[in-house]
Amino acid sequence: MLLAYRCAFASERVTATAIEANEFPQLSQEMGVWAVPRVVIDGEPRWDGALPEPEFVRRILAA
Amino acid sequence: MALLRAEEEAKVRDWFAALDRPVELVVAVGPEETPLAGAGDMDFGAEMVRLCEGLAEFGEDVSCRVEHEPDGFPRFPAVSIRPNGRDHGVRYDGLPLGYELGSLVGAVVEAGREKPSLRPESIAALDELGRDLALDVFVTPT
Repeated sequence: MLLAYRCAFASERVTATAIEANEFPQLSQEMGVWAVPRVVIDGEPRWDGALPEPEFVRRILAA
Repeated sequence: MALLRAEEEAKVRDWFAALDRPVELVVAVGPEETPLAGAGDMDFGAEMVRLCEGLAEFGEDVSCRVEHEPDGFPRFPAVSIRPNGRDHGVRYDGLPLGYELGSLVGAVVEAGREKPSLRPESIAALDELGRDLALDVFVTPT
């Protein structure tokens, strides 16, 4: 989660929200959350699991 | 009940004392979705207020403000983490319990930095971003 926050503070273009899956089950179901962390970019589920910073940044820029 | 164990609180106080700039926590409370079974009868909004007000007590440069159903918050409770009171679109929706409290503390520490802690090459890559990008990360308390 922290990487997403760091990206948001580093770039005016990026926003980052952590969403507690158990508290918002309807949204979690819509996003097909079965494992966490699940990363969703612009409303589209992209991947599950933590990544090292270079790969995280590469993936969000490629989204 | 204490928010953190004594040794954890001491660390957080040290981190918050070293912030370069003030950080405001804006807590948004309002109608809540029914959580999954097992969440118990917890009042998530009240607990979020308690948690964020408690964090704000750990540092002079950390403050907390509570708003009821403010615009721009799709889910409640939520907290917006704002360096110098400015909204960077950094939020935590839901109650950050357990390990996830570390994410909120980490967000405050990052917000309090004048310079991002990302690698220079990551910052350079993000500077080239030609469009807005919304990251949502689904988490669970562990």
